[in-house]
Amino acid sequence: MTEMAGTAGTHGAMLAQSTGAPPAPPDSGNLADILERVLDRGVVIAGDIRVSLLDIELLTIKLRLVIASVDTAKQMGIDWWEQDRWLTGRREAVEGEESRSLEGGSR
Amino acid sequence: MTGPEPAMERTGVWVHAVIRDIGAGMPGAGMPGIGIPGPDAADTGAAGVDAAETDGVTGVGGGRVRAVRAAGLTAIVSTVDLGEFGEQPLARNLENVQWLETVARAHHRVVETVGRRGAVIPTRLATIYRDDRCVAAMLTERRADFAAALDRVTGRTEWGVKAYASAAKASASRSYASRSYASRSYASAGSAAGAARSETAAAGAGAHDARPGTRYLRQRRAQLSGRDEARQATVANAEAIHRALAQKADADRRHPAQAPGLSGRTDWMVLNGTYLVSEDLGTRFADAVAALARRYPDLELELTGPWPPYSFAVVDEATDR
Repeated sequence: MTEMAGTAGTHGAMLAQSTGAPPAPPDSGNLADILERVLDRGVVIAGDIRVSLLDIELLTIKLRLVIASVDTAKQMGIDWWEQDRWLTGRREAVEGEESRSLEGGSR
Repeated sequence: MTGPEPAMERTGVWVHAVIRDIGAGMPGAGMPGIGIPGPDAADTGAAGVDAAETDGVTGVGGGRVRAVRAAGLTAIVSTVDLGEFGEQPLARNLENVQWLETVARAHHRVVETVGRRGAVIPTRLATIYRDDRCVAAMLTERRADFAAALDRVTGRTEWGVKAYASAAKASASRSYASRSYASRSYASAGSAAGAARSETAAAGAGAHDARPGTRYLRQRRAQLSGRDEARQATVANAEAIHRALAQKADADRRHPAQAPGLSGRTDWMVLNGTYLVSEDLGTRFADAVAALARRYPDLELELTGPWPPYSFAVVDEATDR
């Protein structure tokens, strides 16, 4: 934990420390950690280029499906995404919104 | 169109983050870290906007990072080509994981760099305006919201804590994604534990059927129930860890578990929490994580940070999840 103490409070050095694993390389940051932050968090303000929040949410869903390899999916049981809150929708209506969006109606 | 010349219509302005006006109270001090000169630098010519050039960190699309100042706030922006970042191309490019990674990392790098200097409100990926004037108008319109959000995160950073339960330890390898996890893990601590208990009770009821075949069913039920109990214990421990960490933080959030493929791990992520912690208490927070890791040896805790306060940069609490 002393390593942590050294960097805590200095904003730049990203560090990941598992109880059993060496810290992740500084500077980069885990892609999953970065993506979930830039896609799902951060302030939402309406820009002039409309990438609706909905589109972004759909993107994260697709992304999770794309990145999860077939092997991983098998290991996890083929239906893990059906149970994932992201995919079943944190709002009940995601499915309806998806079809609407795919029809080009999101804008 | 408000663009001063036709060529301008081919570019947009990507907003990385909003900070307090870099000129305010800091005469001549810009953001040397990312090469943004102070307020004395030449502006872009847009009325009411000081957008200084930078030569430091590049923004998305390789563009230079600039400052657009208005209403006591500064937006950190970069110019993007609408051929790549316009509505249609953007929708297409966002589907490309390599493109997305490059853009996400570039955006994050700017946010992180800016955040080293002080309070920062990161904007969500792909917040794009037509020009600097539109950005300035947005800053002016949302001035109060941004000021409040900046106050909330000033002097604080975000730490991420994930808890993993290995399949073997949790006896829940394939079933970790089952209904019990999916429906419970994001519920509040109390209701999750309650749901777990009621499910156990339901599973136990009717175990004394006298009909043939009940022996198998009973065994099967006991097996499933044992697995359930292990899972419930794991969930309960994760809740306890989250509550303990939340007490050390000024604000806390629980997020959906990361997809196994994306996180590169196949074990069950039972906690994906973020915690807003005073900069000077980061060490204490890390110590608390270490203590919890010792107390719950069946869970592997992973601490990341300090991050810019992505999870706590909300301008409208009502839309916050």
